[in-house]
Amino acid sequence: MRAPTPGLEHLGHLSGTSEEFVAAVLPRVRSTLAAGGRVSAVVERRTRRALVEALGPDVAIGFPTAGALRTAPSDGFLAHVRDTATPAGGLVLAQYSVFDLADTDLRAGEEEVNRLPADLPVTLVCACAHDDRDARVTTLRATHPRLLHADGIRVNPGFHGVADPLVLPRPDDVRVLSVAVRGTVDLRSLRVRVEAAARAAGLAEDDVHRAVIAVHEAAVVVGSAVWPGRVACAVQVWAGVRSLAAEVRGPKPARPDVGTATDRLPRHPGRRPGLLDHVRLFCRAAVVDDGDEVRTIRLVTG
Amino acid sequence: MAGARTARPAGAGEGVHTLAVAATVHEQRTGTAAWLDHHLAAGTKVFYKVRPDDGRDWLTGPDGPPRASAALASGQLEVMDLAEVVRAAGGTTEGLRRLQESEVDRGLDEGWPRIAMSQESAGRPMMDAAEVAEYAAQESAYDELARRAPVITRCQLTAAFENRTASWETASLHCGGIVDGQWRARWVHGRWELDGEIDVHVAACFGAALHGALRLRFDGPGDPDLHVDASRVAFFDVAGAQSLLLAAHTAARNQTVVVHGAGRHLQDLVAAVGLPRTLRFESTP
Repeated sequence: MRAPTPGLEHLGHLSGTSEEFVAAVLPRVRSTLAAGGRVSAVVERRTRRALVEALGPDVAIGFPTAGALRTAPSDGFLAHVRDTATPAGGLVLAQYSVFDLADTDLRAGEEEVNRLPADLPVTLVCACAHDDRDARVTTLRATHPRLLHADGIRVNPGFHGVADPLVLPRPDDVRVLSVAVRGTVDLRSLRVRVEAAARAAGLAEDDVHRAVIAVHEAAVVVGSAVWPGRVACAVQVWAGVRSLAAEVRGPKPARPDVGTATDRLPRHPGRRPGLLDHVRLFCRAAVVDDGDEVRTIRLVTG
Repeated sequence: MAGARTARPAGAGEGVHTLAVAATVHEQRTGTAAWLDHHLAAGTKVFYKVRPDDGRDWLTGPDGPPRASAALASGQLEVMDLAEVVRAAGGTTEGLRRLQESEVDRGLDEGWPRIAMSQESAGRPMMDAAEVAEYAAQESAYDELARRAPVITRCQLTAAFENRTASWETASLHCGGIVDGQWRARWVHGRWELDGEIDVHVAACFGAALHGALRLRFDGPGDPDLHVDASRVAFFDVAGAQSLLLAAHTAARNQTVVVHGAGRHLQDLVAAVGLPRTLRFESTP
């Protein structure tokens, strides 16, 4: 594992066990401590035990709980990451499993990390179990520029920067579907056709279902401009290599977006749900583009 | 094409007191024609109530059940419009109950093995709680009829004719037997069994029926928890998941919604917006 970087390093790690996670991060923990940097681990008890066993009982690692960070001033975890950058070269380890967050909030939190200053001298390693919920695994894959593996760090091809525009179709895409959705009654037909397109593109069974939900929900978001009770939008779908790309276009809402029903439910403080939070749970990347009169959502599954 | 909310033909498993939901008259008639033809073919006596404004001609037209003309001629199918019903019942719920009982008795006296009853969407204003209670009493009379005689009742809710309150209350009252084109619900051994695809198109009706099921469990004897069997649900979207969440949040303090056999994506959807303590998933079907 190479030495800590001078700027913000946001690494993702997919692990089977706490021991595997510890084995992957141990060289970085040791080098950080040796260089005088702070190490903070917001992790499961088992991971904490493994770290202490590997480094000794007197190891200078902080183990704040996720709950304690939640009670900190707004964006407690982000503030903690910023704090760990002083002195320069700090390291934060965070396991998804200890955060009592809705999946949309977790995704939004990860995207907030990517908005931190690029020169912030800190490394954050986020870990998600292989068998965690799909939405969480998708979040890990989509929000980390690089992934930490047992044998080192590699560029993450699934990463999509939050501010990146999504240009569709991609170079090798083939258009497989173009359909007008005139009302919510047409959504069922849309799903059937997206499912067929996804199967034809060779998506795995689980990814087929996720693609169907993502396109369906994007159509609902765009169509909500003519709410209530109707959806009016045009959907185009392209097939790539084991993935679909979709563009959903419809009228831009005359008024600012009205929150969904869940917006009014108790939520974690300090986080306003985004328009595409729930869409992003089922795809690799999704962006919304509001023109003067037209709203367009573009998404890529997989 | 699977896009239209087309009602499936009614079968024996549909239940003895069912609500058929449709967005439009055409959609409702398509499902009703299939239901009527099924029961006429099975040798059931059918009493059918039509909306006075729309008439009865559609029954013998191209959209009607093929057996309607012969059944009308033989007396197997009797049609009355809702204005006539109100007059015959004296405008009261009690009068309506007596009218229905007399129809059932007459049908059985004529030697029919089963009686089927259906009425088109009445467009009740449901302006206040008293009217809702009156409607509930009227509907419970159908259940009472089914307990004492082989009577099958198919109520109809055509959204185009009903205001939101009426649609909500009607779906809520019929939670135990609802057929809404792409989804349906019924009670099976104390569990609320769902089938089909639940999305934003049917979320209002689903939400109403879900609240009705919760209310029924709360008001009934025994465990107030609502056990939902979702193992037959092929698709759930965010709107459907929101309905579950809202129901769980508004459940009484000692009431929990327990969802059995839910697909992983439904669990993901609900988890995405925050699982309340009053909602839990169990893997048992």
